[in-house]
Amino acid sequence: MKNKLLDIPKTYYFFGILFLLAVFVQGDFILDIITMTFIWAALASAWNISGGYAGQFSLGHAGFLGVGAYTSTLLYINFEVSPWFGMILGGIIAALFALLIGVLCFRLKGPFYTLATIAFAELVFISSTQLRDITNGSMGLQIPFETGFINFVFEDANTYAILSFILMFVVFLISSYIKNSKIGYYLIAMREDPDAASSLGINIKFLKLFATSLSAFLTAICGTFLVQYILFIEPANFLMLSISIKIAMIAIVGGMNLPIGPVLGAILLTPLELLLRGYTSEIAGLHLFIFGLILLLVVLVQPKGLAEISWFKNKKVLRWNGVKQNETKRDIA
Amino acid sequence: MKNRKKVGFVALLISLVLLFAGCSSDSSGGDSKGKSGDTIRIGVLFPLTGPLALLGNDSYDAVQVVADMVNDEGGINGKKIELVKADAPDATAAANEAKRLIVNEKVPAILGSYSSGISMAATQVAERSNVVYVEANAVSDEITERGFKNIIRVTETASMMGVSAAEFANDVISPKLGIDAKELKVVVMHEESSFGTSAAKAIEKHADEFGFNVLSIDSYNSTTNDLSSTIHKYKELDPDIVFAASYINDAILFVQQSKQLDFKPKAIVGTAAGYALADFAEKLGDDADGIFVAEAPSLPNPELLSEEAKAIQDEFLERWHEIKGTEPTGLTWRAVNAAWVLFHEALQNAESLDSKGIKEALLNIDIPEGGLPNGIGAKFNGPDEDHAGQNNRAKAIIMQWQDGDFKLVWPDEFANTEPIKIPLSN
Amino acid sequence: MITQLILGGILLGGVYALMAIGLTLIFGVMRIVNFAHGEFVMCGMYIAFFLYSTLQIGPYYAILIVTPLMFAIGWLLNEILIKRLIGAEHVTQIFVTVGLSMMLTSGALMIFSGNFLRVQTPMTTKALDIGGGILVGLPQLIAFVISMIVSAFMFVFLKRTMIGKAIRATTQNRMSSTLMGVDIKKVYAFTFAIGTALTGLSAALLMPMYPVFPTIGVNFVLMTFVVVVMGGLGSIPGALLGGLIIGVIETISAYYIDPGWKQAVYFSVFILLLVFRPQGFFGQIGAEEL
Repeated sequence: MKNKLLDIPKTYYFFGILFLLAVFVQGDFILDIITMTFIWAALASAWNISGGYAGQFSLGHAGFLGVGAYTSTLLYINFEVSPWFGMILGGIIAALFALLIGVLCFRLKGPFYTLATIAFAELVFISSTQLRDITNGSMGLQIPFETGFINFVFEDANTYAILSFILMFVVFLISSYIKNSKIGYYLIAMREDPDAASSLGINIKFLKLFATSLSAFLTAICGTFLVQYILFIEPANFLMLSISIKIAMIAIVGGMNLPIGPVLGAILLTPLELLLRGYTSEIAGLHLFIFGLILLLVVLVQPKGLAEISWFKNKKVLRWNGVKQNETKRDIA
Repeated sequence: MKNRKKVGFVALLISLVLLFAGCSSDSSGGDSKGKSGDTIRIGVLFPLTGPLALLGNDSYDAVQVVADMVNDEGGINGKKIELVKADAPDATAAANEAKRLIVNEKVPAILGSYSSGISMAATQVAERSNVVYVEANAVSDEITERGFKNIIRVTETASMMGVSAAEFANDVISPKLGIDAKELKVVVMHEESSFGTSAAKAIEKHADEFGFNVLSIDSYNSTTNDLSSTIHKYKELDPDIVFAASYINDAILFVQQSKQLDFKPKAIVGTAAGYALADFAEKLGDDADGIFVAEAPSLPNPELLSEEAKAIQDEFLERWHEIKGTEPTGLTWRAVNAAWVLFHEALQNAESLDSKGIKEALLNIDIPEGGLPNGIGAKFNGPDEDHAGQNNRAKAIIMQWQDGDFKLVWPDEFANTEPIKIPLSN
Repeated sequence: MITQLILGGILLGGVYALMAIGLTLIFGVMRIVNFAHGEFVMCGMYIAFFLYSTLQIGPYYAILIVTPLMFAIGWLLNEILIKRLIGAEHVTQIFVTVGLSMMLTSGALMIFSGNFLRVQTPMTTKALDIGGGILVGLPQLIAFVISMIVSAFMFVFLKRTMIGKAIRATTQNRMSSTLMGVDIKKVYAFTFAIGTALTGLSAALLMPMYPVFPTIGVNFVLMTFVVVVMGGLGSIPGALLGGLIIGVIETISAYYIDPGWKQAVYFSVFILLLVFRPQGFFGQIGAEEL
């Protein structure tokens, strides 16, 4: 079971095109859409490591996002620590949180795990609103527009687009690597039949903790990227339940089993949301309604996500049930 | 592999289509519009959806009415003002929408934002692009304390409201109750978002300066369904005055539950938002009587207003009554002032209709107190002064609900009635 | 003071209990966690509001209309959507109702806009003084009494009637019940409909006290889950007890700690429950593992 990482030319072409878009497209609004799309793609891919692969459907990832963003921002504003370092620290803190949640909620299955993650994220939300002396509460924190690499603030929109492309690509690679490694197979086994898996000697507890901590770490890093792009953080735009739902939704609609799924989900949904909001503001709430409908339909009809819609019907489904051994190994992107 | 190729290409196609759709919709629009042509397009950014939708829409509508008023008079040298609508339910959306307005729609100026969080995010985008941003009604002090050179705020700040509320308590309530300022017991309750928090901070600061005893500061979520614990706490503390920064739901809840639980402070002073809405008095009826609100002025003593201001006031009222059938509140007047200042005063006198020209025109404005329809004046601090861009003739005054009507009771030059019901209870 | 707070909390908790009973039944029988439960309450409140504003039917009378109406809506929803969730993958079970809740909230926003709609009754600000200066709000008291009566009724219903027994059997063991001749599909439909009807009932009871607005569901749903887990899934006495306890926790923590933190308190309680005693008071051990 070697890592067939480099065996995927077509996917690289795909990413190559996205990279070129980031470099050459001009126009701040388009670049805005591109940058946001890439960041959401990274977020959804990070979520998918614990959600799609490990079957831990978290609706609390906004908590990790916020922890990452607040950590790097507070360190930068108060102690002039470069957000690049703050980012790593934020990631570590988020991973520790995830470990805590994992240890406490280890036995919870399905919706109960989801409810627990919601409760945790709400605790982070409430804390960030109430601890005004630290976080400035709901008045929020603004990052001053002083450009420079160390400050992680840039004048040029293309720079942000390229950086978020790199973020997305790195998370994608990590996700791919895991998927195709031993850990990936253990995760699938654990998700499909935990009892059988543990009887084969797979350490379920370790796997779950690993997956959720890694997911949290990456999510927190995305949090720093996001706040360095928007330059403003308040509890309402980083920590609300609706953000957790959005992250999960992108991964689910895109496709939870394939590393490319969340990326496709983001490409489909992020521009859709931005454009819907921009051009249907006449009817308040319409874009949310459409999103709810999309989520409902996808999950009902094709829970594996759009990335797996196949014109050749059941081949894919059979693959993922592990029926055909050799073909499973080739499924990378 | 074939599947994936197909899927990949389909996804790519979709994304490219969407991107270029977005691209083309603006480039075709942008070229033919803008300053050449017979319209002037101004971006207007408010929360039109989401939790702040109610008042965001109120502000937008007021701006539209003023634009209509100016257009009906012949517009700006023959050109009609056209509003480019932007919905920003939260700070992230505000940043996105501001970019869209500036880059796609190519507007030379943006008017917004109602919420301080939205303002903070959008104004930063505007500042970086050197596009002038006229802030109509977000009050957090921070907005004009970042040294930005492209913000012009027409409305008063949270600090000014805090000063008014505290000064009023000191100058009027304290003597009328016969309690010395240093003996006065007060509490501050506020909803926990940026509005409530900044208003409460300001109140606390100025209450301290006057020597009041601030017994408690309580924050809560504005959509809460129960304030009974806070009210029980206040019953124990027995404050003379309750200062409250609330939205409509919590304001009504507080007054209703206070009545139910028999909590009777000697005075309630709200700051803008919920306490200043027509809905508040309508739902509470007699229970709203006597409550004070630190607000932007509304329908002041007519002797204060210049002839021109009176004319603007009358015309706006007429149009507003026709469209809405309700009375405009201080919030509405804030939006009216900003729109009037931008459309009628700045655009008319701008040397060029780009951001630079409009900004210069705004900085040249010198309207004495009484010159704007609700009684305030307009003179903006220069970009190199402290609080750059803030209107130093903005004012917060004290209104009071009297028999279902919202009356201006303090300070004297603005007032059209005396304050009543000190203390509140009967 | 503490008596006042506890009493207030109990009254508050009575209504929470009513909402929770519906949720716990649905969960116990169908093993579906309905994330849209709060939005059902919202729907009930809008219906009650319109009955009042257009037909002048007071909320307490409206109960007679709203409850059966919500029963029918619940039945219909089950037919169209919910029954497909039985035995589906977790991701489907969770996210279908999440999507539904998004649609309901934004639907309400589209139709009714963000206004806070209130029913103004003279009762809203009345309270009874029951001695010692302790005040009991009148609408709160009525809501509590009716909730208790309905809870008792539900308890008896489940214990004594055939349908009730069928429901309880299904909660305990789906497979055996089918083997014993229980029509599972009917049980599911009926349970979901009853759960929804109960949200309608609580909605009508809430109208004299609170306004309705599109995002009110969010306030209720998380709290109702806490109650359900505390009481034990599928247990009505549990939901009752859990509701009362949560109500008291809410009032006491809002007073002694800070109203802003009160939600943090019951979320923490929730997490502790899930970790240390996921079956709650009266639930079956292992139920939370589906």
